[in-house]
Amino acid sequence: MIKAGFKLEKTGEAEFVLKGQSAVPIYFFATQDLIESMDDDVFFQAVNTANLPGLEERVCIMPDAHSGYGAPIGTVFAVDAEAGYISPGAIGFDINCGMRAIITNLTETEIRPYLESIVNKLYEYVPVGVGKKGFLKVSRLQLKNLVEKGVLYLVKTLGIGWAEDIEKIEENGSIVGADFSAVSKRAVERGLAQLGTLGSGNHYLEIQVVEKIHNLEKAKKFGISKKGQVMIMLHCGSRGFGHQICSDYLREFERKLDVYRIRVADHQLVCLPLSDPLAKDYLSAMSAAANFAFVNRETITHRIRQAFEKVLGKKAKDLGMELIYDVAHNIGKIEEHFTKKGKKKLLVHRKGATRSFPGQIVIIGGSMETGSYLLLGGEDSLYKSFASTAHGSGRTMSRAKAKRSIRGSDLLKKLKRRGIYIKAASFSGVAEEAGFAYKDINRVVCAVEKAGLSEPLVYLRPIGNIKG
Amino acid sequence: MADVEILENTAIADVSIRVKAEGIEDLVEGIVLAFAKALGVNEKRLCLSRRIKFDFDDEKDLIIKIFDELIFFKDVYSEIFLRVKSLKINKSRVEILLKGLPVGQVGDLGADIKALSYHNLAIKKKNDLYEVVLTFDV
Repeated sequence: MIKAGFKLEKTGEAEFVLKGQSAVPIYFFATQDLIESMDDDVFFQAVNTANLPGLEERVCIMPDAHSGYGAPIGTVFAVDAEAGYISPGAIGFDINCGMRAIITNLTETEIRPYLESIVNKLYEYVPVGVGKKGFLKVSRLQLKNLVEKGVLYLVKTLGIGWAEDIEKIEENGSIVGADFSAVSKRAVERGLAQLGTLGSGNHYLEIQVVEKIHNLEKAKKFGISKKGQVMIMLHCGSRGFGHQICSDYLREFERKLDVYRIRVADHQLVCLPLSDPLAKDYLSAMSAAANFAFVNRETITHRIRQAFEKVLGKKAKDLGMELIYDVAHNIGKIEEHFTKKGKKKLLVHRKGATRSFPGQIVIIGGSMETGSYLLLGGEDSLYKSFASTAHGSGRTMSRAKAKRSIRGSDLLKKLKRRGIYIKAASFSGVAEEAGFAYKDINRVVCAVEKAGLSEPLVYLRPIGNIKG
Repeated sequence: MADVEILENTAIADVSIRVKAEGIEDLVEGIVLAFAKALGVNEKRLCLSRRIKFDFDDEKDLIIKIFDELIFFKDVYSEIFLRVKSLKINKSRVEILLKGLPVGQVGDLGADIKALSYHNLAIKKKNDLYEVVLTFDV
């Protein structure tokens, strides 16, 4: 097929390849209709990305891809963990923007009478929206420990969160090598102000019910056993802390491009060799931001549990509010992968893509109208996509157009009539996140299943949501 | 007075703004107005002031540093600065008195501006006329 003037060759049921335009081939893990729905810039940006130096084998584009800054949202590539290059823009501003799924032993029937109260209480307990401050006040030293030691420090020293959550977080909620001294004062200030906040835009906290279980035997291993079971899903990242780190290092990387005579088509894709001290500093700072995000999501989970306790008058443990998994979708990770040259340590860049090792939980969040999925990582992802899969349903419409298409207040009323109660800090923010602004999540999940990257486990229907 | 408009043909998830200005003072005012426009804020009653001053290498550095300050005040002090009250600028140093208001006094804010992206960042200058395209991560 031809798209955006590029010839894509079909290599599988949900797999196309673009060759000859870049240093490495670009694999699109999507069905034809999803590729046709991608905006043209996805392809130009994918080619720019695939011309970065030092890439291993291929660039992978996920079925929910849409154009971003530099690299498309929904891009994965890898470089040698020692001799390769690192690109802050190809990891993203919101370092470790990610997803968290929490199970309960409640059913929809049980929660319905309390739904509005719970949503309102969540809105009261979890700061959302522009300029909102976090409820968790920590000192600089405590922040240093949080971003260097991760969730373990939060739980053991600050007494927030559950110890049993730690093993259910990617990298146990602590990426090794994080270094607070690599983080600017400005990033620290933004982090101190925003620790324990949800944010705005497409970040959200959602109450969902199990609508369909695709594999009951496997779902039971994660505490999911019946239709109508209540779950909670959280989508947020490293807030201003991560954004500032990315901004700071983009600027510094750009200043050093000439030293290595690196040419990039888009300055958002600036990169440096990992042997450079600045690149090492960025890796350390990025790891700190990733840990900040893990800590942030655990802190918010603490508040979620408190909100449920307050409204329902039962302990969160008695409500079975266990963490299923917490996983990043904007990150640079050092991982071992099989390549054509054998097993190798690689630095995998995932921007709008989720880690998907076989048997690992994957969380793909949809819009507040359409629902979300839990999946399991697939075997094929190991050799096709550096163990990666999609992360969401992907925007298809600009924010401005979405706002012109519907009023936020009308959308809230419409959703309430459908039984979805939403509390939002901004009407225009709600309009921007309308379901029609996103791809059909079922098609995205179908594509990753066909490509062998991950298999659907559970489909979740939203019933309540708070957003900024 | 700088001309500031939101651009439609942009990457799907972001906000892009074009600023046209005559002279560097006008450019600075336009950059601050661009922040307001990107946030969707059009408040007239501005009760807060802050003075910022810094050195800069060139126009790009100037723009990046102004946004750094504006985003910082929004996130750390919950203050949004939308207008330039006064300005002193030479080739490498700027001092700006900003006017703004607390976040809590703004109506419906919509998407948050979290960072200035380098994607499509373009600064054109002809004689004293500037045309700048900015893309924000929201």
